[in-house]
Amino acid sequence: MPMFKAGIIDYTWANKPSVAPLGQIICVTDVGENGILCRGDGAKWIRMHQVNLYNLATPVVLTGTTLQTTLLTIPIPAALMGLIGRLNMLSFFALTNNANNKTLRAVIGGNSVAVAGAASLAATGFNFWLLNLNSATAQRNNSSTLFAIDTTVSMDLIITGQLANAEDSITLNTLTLELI
Amino acid sequence: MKTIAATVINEVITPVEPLPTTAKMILFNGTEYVIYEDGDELPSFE
Repeated sequence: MPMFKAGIIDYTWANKPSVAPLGQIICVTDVGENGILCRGDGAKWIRMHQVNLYNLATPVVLTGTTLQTTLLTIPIPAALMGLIGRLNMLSFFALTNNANNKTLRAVIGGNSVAVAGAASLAATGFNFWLLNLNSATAQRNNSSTLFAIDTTVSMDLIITGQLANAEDSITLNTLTLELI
Repeated sequence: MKTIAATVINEVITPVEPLPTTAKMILFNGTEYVIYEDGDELPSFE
């Protein structure tokens, strides 16, 4: 039975066919601004191009606690990174400008893929990249730290903030997450 | 303005439901997440 179908058919990432015929192209409508194209390799669907997964439109402010606090959660679909995908996150924070430390973290699957401290700054950028090393379960980040995150399952990128002094504040003003 | 409760999971304060993506501002005030919407006066922070 021929598996190849002419034309580009729309699916969601969750309901795309389990069979990915070599050369078949589909549109996954629920990823990116208006969908992405994926091509079958005979076994699985491979993303054909980069996609912007998320842009922050709502500032998020943290104050009143010294506990680590979730500021933003971004879902990353299972297996979307592929074997050589790279997550790029760029963000910008406003801070209370004093000597008290403020800690920013990016966590994926329980792994802190980026951590930064800031003090005596009114604002700071907080960025990282994380690339799959020809494997969906092995990564290295921009600090050359190795990770073993299973990107074949869905996961969240969680951005947290933590204040040394609860009277200070952290404001997440800008963030973009792209998958290359 | 509405609020979303918070809980602590693995020593991290976490909202009990997804935070909205279209609000004017979200503030965690030490107790809960406060969601500011169109028409709400925004607090200021240094």
